[in-house]
Amino acid sequence: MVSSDEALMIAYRRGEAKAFDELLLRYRTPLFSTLRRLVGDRALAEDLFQETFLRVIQHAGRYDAGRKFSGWVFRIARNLAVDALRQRGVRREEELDDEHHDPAGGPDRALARAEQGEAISRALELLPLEQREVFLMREWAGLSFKEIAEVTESPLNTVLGRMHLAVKKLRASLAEHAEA
Amino acid sequence: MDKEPSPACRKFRRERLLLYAYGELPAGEAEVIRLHLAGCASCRAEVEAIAAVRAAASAPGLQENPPSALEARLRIAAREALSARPGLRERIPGWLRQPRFWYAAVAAAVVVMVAGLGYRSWESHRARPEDFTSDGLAALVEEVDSWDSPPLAFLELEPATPLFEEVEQEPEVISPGDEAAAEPWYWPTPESGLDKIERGLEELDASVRYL
Repeated sequence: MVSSDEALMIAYRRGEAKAFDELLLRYRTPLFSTLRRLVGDRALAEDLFQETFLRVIQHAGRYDAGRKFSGWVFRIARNLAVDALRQRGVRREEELDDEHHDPAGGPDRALARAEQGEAISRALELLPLEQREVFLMREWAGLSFKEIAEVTESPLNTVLGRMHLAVKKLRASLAEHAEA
Repeated sequence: MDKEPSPACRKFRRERLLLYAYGELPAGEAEVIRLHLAGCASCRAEVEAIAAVRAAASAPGLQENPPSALEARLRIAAREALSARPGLRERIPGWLRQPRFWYAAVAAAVVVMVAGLGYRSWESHRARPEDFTSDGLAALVEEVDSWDSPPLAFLELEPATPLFEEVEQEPEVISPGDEAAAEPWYWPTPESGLDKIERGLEELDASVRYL
């Protein structure tokens, strides 16, 4: 019988270490991938991933069993990512500027050369943070739009509006790649 | 690519179509959208575009895992946190773990128990106002009157011989003007139940006044 994330978290709180292992296994890919695309830096994503789960361990006693674990863990991760990006704000903009002035021909040319997966990966990094996080949490983390609204503390319509814009831009990037 | 939506289907754009494409609409609303899509090329193209982006985003190799060493460190941290968690004994406040607290608690319990028993005893023996109503008094008289016989019957004792009996006097010659002397002479007999109660009430009254 497959236990829910919430049941696993409660089991860990009771002292079952294996329940934590199962949670880590379930969330390692969606959470790490989301963080990786959110911050655009693998080393920083690793730090944030570790910090997220350390906070899960540290605050296990305060976990509200009536709340979805996915929403809770993504909220922790998202807040950490936003703080980290805020601290690195200037550098991040500089990095993006460098990318935009790619001597090889700019992002459009780079997208044309890349495979489709690579294209959408690149297009994702070019999305504004608000649109990117909504897309990643919905697409990779599997959170519903309502849950994303809770995690980001935004109205549902705002979340849907951001998703709509993200899909529109990604679709345009894919179309450009296909034409190239 | 982006066909202009007709005014009739404008309400389905954005929010509704996204929720439909991700399967987050209630069944009834989803059915309405499905019927609409059958006749609306613009909305159908929108839903197909969302599906295409979803397919591209789920391409293999796009998602990544954290390093194994990082996961191992987290597993160790999770176990260390569990073993470092205070046990039940440590979670009890220090003052509760002091023997002096438990001695005091036991002493207090004994005092409360003794006081409770004393109160119950006093409560069962004290005179109540209803004892002095006519019915209560009659019941009391009856009870007190019955004190002599049942214990005696139980003990199979002979009824007590009166200490003082009527003494038959020698007929006296009553002189004229001395008729009082002709009254039969009785020695005091044991108190009746009513007498005892009356005496008890008098004593109680005296006690109350004294207090």
